[in-house]
Amino acid sequence: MRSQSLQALVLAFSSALGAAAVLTDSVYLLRLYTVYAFHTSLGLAVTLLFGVGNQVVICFGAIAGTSAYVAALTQVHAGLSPSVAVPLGLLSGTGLGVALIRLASSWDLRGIRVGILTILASLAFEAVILGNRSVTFGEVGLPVDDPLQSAGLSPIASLRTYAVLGLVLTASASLLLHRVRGGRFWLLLTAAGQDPDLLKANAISPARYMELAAAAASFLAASSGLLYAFSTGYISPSTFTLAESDIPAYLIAAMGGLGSPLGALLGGVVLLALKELTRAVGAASVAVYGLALLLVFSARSRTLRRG
Amino acid sequence: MLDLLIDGLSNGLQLALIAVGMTVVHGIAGVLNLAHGESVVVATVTAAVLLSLGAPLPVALILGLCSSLLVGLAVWAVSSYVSGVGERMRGVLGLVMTLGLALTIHGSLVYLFPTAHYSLVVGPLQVEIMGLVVRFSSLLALALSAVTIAALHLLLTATQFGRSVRASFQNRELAESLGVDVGRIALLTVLMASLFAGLSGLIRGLTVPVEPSRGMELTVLSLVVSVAGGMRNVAGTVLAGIAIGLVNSLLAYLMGTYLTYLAILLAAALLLRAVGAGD
Repeated sequence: MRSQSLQALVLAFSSALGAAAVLTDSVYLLRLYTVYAFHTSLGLAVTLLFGVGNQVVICFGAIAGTSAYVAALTQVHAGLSPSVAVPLGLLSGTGLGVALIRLASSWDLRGIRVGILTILASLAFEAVILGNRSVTFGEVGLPVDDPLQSAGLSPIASLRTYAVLGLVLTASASLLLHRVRGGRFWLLLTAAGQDPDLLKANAISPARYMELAAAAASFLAASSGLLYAFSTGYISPSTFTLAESDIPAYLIAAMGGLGSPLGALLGGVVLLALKELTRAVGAASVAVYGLALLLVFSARSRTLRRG
Repeated sequence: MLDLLIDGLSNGLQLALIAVGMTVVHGIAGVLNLAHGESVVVATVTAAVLLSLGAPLPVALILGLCSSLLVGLAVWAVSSYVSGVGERMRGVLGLVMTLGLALTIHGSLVYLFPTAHYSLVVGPLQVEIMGLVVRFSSLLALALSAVTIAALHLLLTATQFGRSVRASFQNRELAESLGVDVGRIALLTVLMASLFAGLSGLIRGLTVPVEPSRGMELTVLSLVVSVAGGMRNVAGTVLAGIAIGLVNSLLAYLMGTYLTYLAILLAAALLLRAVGAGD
């Protein structure tokens, strides 16, 4: 009963946001919706892999960035149409996430060692973008062709479409995860994160469940990266750094209750408010995120100590 | 070329100083300190700001070191906070919370000193060795790095504190049963690690300008050195630091900074496999 009420609440919340997005002509509000969808999608990815699967994956920004850059670069430099470039971007972002988790599984890395591996991947992504300025334009950023505008939509109609698509993506991912919560996949993923040897002893492959979760989480991150790139019409590596993408995602997941897909939607609202409130201080907003991360995870460790 | 070798060796010793702190804190306090690079940057920035305000050199250097001790205290607070949590989650929470601490310090430094490049460079003096001209600041940094590493070695091998650190590092339970106050040793170790990181930052400032935003890069480099050294091996960490410092300088000269950085990240990932499985 409680679960159904929560689902109804999320549907009402998402519908209200979606309706507002459809009705408004404010570019500022529509941009806020796309930023919300981007960060909340990454927060949901963290919720699944860290909150449930206990895997410290700190490269969802790089996954979203890989997807966005591959789609943009293949359009700009190889002249591919969006119908080819978009699936290629999705495939490369999702593939990166799955490859990293498969690598961690085959090397038998756990806990902080998975964290180290994924941080290295995130820094490598940034170094590749910044080291190939002639192709990626480095810190300056890369303009992205908007396929909707190319198809004849006005800029505001295109932005509205991306905002609605982003909200639909986050709401449906959140509801889908909520529905599988407590089911076989959820329980086996939890067990794979907490005690993989126990699963192996029962002839169940923990790597298989972790890779499935990584595929879902990475697909979510890759899709949100693409939507963000097309809606802003421009991408730069600074959007996909640890500080700008992964830390907010961990904040969202932690504020949502770590492991609660519906909570992550609300965590996204709090993060957006924090982002807007600290806009005036520019680069120092990173300090606010850091402080928030410390406070939220302090509360989390207090709960775990009591447990 | 001699300049390159001297700078590489000096960088390697400084990296070793930073990485040994990260290794020992990970071994004793159970926290992989991602704010460790900030101790380096905070010391350099504090000393350079004080010097620019007209403070005498010794005062600037001592207050620079004190500022890195403050970072150490914050790391200690994090490690105490997560100490009651189960071993596996403690590592993960420590990682995430020290990352939060690193970002807090990083954001504050970038806000307070946005466009600054801080340096303690002693001047463009050059000296001649066997017909080759070398920067005096590079030689001074190399000498100071070597002396500091020697001091750290003596501290860890020839003092009661060092014996207690090594005992706690190798077997915490056994050290406790033999009467070592592991909690106090862990606090002193975290402070020692920050102090040596700060010293490394002050020495680093003699040869290269240190930007307030470089903390994370230094953390990653020392993490690479720590992984290359075996993650729980102090002597291995020192050797890895020297090797990576030399390789980094030579490769950066031959291939450029970004390719070198990529090569180091790839090597770190491969070393992570070689170090072995587990949490």
